[in-house]
Amino acid sequence: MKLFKTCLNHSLLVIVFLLAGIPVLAQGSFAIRNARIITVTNGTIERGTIVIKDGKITAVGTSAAVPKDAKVIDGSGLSVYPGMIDSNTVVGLTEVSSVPATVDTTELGDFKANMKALTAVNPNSDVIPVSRMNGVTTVLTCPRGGIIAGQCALINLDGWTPEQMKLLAPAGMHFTYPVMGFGGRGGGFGGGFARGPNDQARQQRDRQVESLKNTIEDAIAYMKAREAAAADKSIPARAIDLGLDALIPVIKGQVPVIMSANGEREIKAAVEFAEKYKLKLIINGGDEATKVAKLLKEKNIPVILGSTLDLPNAEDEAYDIAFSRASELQKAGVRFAFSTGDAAYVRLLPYHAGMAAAFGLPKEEALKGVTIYPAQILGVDKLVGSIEVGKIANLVVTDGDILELRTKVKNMFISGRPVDLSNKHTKLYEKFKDRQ
Amino acid sequence: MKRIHLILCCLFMIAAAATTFAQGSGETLISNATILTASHGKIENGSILIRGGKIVAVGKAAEVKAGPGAKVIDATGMFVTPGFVDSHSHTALDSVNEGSLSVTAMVRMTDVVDDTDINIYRQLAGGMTTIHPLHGSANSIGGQNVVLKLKWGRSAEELILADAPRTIKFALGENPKRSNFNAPGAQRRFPATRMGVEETIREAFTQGREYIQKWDAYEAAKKLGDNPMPPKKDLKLEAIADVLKGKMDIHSHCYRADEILMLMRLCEEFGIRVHTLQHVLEGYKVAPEIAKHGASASILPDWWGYKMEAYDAIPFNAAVMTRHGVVVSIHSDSNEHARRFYQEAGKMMKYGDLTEEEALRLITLNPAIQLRLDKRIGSIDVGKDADLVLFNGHPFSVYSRPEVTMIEGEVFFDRKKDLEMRDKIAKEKKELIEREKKLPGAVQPTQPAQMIIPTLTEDDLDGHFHDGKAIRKP
Amino acid sequence: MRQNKFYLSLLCALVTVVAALAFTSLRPVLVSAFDGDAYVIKGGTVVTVTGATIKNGTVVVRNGLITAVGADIPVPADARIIDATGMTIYPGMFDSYTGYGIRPAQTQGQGQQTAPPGIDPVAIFMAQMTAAPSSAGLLPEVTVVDQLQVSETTFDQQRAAGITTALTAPRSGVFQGQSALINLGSQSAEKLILKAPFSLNVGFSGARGGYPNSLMGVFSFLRQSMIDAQYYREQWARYNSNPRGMQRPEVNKSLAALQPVINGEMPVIFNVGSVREIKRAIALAEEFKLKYLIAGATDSYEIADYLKSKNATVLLSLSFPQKPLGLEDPESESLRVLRERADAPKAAAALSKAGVRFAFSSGTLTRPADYLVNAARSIENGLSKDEALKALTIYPAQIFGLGEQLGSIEKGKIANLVLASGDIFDKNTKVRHVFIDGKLFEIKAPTGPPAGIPGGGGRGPGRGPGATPPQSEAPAESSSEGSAGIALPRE
Repeated sequence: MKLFKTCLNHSLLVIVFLLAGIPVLAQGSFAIRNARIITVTNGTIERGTIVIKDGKITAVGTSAAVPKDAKVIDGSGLSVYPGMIDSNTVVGLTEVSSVPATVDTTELGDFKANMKALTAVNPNSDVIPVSRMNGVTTVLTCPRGGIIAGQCALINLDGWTPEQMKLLAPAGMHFTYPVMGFGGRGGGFGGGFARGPNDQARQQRDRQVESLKNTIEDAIAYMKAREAAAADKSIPARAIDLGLDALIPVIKGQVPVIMSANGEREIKAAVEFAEKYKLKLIINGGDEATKVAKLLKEKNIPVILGSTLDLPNAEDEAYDIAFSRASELQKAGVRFAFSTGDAAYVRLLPYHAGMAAAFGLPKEEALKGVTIYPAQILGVDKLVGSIEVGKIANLVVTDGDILELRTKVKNMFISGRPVDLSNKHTKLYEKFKDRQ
Repeated sequence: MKRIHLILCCLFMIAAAATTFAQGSGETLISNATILTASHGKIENGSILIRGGKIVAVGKAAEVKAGPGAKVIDATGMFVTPGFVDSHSHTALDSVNEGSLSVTAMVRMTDVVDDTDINIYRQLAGGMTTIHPLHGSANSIGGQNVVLKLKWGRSAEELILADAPRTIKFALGENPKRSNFNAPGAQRRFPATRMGVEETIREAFTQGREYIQKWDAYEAAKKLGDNPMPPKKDLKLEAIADVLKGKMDIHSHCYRADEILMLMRLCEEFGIRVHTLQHVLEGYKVAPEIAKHGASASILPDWWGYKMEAYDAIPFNAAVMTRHGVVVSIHSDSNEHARRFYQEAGKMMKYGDLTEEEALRLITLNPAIQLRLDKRIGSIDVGKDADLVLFNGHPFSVYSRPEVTMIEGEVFFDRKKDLEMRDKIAKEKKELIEREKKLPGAVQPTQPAQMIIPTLTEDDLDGHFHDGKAIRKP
Repeated sequence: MRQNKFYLSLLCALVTVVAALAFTSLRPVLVSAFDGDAYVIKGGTVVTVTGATIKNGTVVVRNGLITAVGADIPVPADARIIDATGMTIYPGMFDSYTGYGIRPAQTQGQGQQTAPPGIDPVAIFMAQMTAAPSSAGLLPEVTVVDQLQVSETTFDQQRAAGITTALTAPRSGVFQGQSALINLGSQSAEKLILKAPFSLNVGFSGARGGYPNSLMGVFSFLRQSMIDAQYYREQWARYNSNPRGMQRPEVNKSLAALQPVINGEMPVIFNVGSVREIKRAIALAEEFKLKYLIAGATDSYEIADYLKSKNATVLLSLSFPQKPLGLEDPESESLRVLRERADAPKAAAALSKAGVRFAFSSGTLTRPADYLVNAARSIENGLSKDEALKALTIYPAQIFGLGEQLGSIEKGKIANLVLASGDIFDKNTKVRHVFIDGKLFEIKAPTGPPAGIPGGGGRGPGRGPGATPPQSEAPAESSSEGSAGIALPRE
């Protein structure tokens, strides 16, 4: 009963947040007719119509009426999908990854809860139109580095300003559970030379875990002091600490902790940590989530999978361990979503899901892993993630299966606005393809 | 139901395959598959006959007959492609860059082949059968490369294709000039600009030409009956001389259009040709010039944006150059991408409308041509090595996967066996850990012996993680 | 004209020196060092190694040599008598590859191949990238003899472990130096030398500033060095046969030092571990027709037959790969690494079975006390006790060309003897006395805590007194001698 109440409270809070976060919706009416509609949540309509009005989906079905003023797209031979969601990226924060001047992913320091990804999203980044190329309309973009990296933003890949792009921010607080060798170039020089699991590394790890706990304790104490002072004028107000202040919605469970944790040890510790402080937890990465699937299922903790196209972490691991990870989690009943973890390569998202399907995940589950599942995990399933009346019109029109390698995107709507599908790559192609 | 039936069928066939191919000789018939030949189109309901590691017949199932006693693999529902060829790899090497000097033409990757690299197996599982592990891009002229067949479990000598034509790595642009990698406090090394890269190569060519002249003079004097002191043999200049004599093919790492042109013109000045441009991300900008020069192009399919010189890279590159008549291959340059080469090729159909066979050639026949091994590998034709991949669906579907990979008629990857092996590994590991626990502490501390100190990698030079662990890991 | 003549004679002198160097490298330096006293060792079991074991035997030692061995030997009147009743007498043990007795200052600074525990390899890499190019580790003319530094106590621990003779050489760099065979006594270094230089020691570590800094660079460097040495030989031969009208070749110390190597007179010892390193070493040796020995070779169990086919000689390291102490999760180690640890002690048996000539060496072991403990592990893993003993005595003596002087208890041989409380391979056996060059060393009772006590990181019992207390943790990647191999079963 109590649990139910807590859940209710949390979801109410989330809704409050969402109301503040709905992107600027386009005006105007559109209709896609005669298309195969893959709603994701309500099956597939072989030949149907979708109506978009003022940014939202207003009708879906075989006999949906098309308003007179609607601009009509003939969808014969085409398929319509909800826009895909990439659940972990650095889109907008980085342009050319090896040119530091163009990279805004990683602030200095270990605890940076007040860093907001949305602030640094460059809406004019060339990466954004390229990311849309294969049907991704929405991404979670996250700060990187340290133990608390900052606040992730869920953004639509269209808009003149970050505000217009924003779907939800903060959508999560990006934590990294400390591991041995953390803080160095784990996969760097020498192509992945792991630092020896010696005492020194372990002590450093333990200190980092300790400082993570201390930071949360500090934030709780800070919140208490602030609230007490607010309620009782006789109590001196504690000075504002922006870093701790930013953690208050996390402590209250309003903003989820997106915890990067890959090892079994770290995932377990992260679950324990979240339980202790009553945090809403999402595991990010989850390379060994399959080993703790039972626990994750039991606690209903979802996983944003790291790249499905990753190499195994160890020599003995099966060659397809990353390919089949989603399938294993799905069988165990753990909620999951796919991510690229990237910026330039967000356009590969469908192939991450597709590869999982080649290695055991049912195709429809693979599609859900890039649509409705991330929407649910990030608490925006009332807004996006499927083709349903009332949802934001993030839609992709394709000439085939959206996860397939050869499929081309023909049309795209984001927040009900038709999106220009040209990008840096198509423009350069057009410019040079017939040069003499 | 149909699906389940198909899977069962596949499993059965793999079991059969495992026992059949193990011998490597004798006849094997792969029957009733969809064969993507890469040279002469698609054969539905086709069969391939293998003898002595070679393809001896290929065609419609009805036309290909095996002798009595041949092992028959019913490949109904399966797709067969040639084994994939990666024209730019750094797999199975103990070391990649001799990063010290600007010209290190003397070093040879044959000396550092690591036959125990697990990535050999992982790539086999993705249908790769031949790779071209290159020296890195730390210097304008790097080292001499090697060609390997991925015969997992065999020793380096058996992996190395000793009679493959020799190739040498060149590198232009940001990496040889060290734009993205600088150890704090390290001295800058010449060259630091694209101008310097050109002169570094011109200088090497010039020295190489003089070296040839010296030896020619010596040989001439000897013919006259003199007994002159021979010139001093210099392994670096020997290699450059071989390049100038056309005995060693240039495979040059390059990105920008300007540097591509520079190298082609420089080679023309010395009467030679760039054999293969590697990466060549801006190749689409100078495709007519590349075609005219006669270089082939081995490209990164859809990489871009990881460094400044990759900012204008486009996934349509393969299509543009192909349309200009350039022999184009795509390469992995990565232990990760090399495992799903077929997907990389499949994507190329979307970016610029290559045909299915054109796309397949990007990872089979064309890289074989670039390695001058197209008489032997790269397509399903009579007389070629039986390097084949059996897929459970169309290789360009994201939902397909390789089930069996064979090299010269011998199975080196079999998914069914792989699945069985997993339990064995876990079991043996557990036993060894338990046994060690019981050992009466006979373990002594050793000196910190020769620790394997990392050397310069391509990741370091590019400021980019080729295996995809780039920004994703926090 | 006069000047020319002067130079000519200078050159002749130089060439003679070069030739002399080559010559001495082949010949043992006769040892004259001895302790004046004569000794009679009576009442013990004499394990002669080459002949029958003598119960209640007697060994007479005089002027540093064994002058008599047998069951009924008259006792010289002037001899000091050692009652060895209940003891077993062995020839002194060899350690066929170590770094004993080398001034530490000289072993450092040759690149950065070795890293102290706990030091970040990334930091070392960065140091390497920033290091100024230098010739350290690339000079074949560097000799161990010039670096030996011996005091009374330098070899206390070795003697306590029954080790009396060693081949010593630094183990960093490419050309790691010319080795020396020494007795582990307490006299000045010159008196201890049995043979120096014995070999040119070569390693494949490319971690250094400047060229070569990669493995393939190391091979190219080695190849070019050999080619240059051949050219140098040719140049001087031509010049010496007919100097008139020929430009005088330059004198080059490094190339001069390589002459005995390319002429097959001085062996190369390749300091290698994994199978592929061994194969690369042999390929290089064959390419330049070098005489060679393989040192380390802990993975050699995989290729014993191959080594036999090459007629290779192995100085097998008893420094077995070890479990890292800081390991949080045992599962995180690969099957390959686990197998290497399980199989390394089987190497000696495999070599013996295949008929490969081999001797034991301590490799990277830090505690001499562990040397025989690990030899005993080889016996537990299938090596016969007799072979194990020979691999510590007569085999190395023969391999090093000292078969007439050392390796067994025979009349006329150097009096290097070990008096132990029992079977040398028994873990309870203590070494009581050691003779080196006829000089008696009493092995004192242990002063520090004995090694191998429970809680010492699960390490084994140390042997005899003087064993050092357990060392601090070794790094996870500490052993290079087990870096290759694979995990998955191979088809």
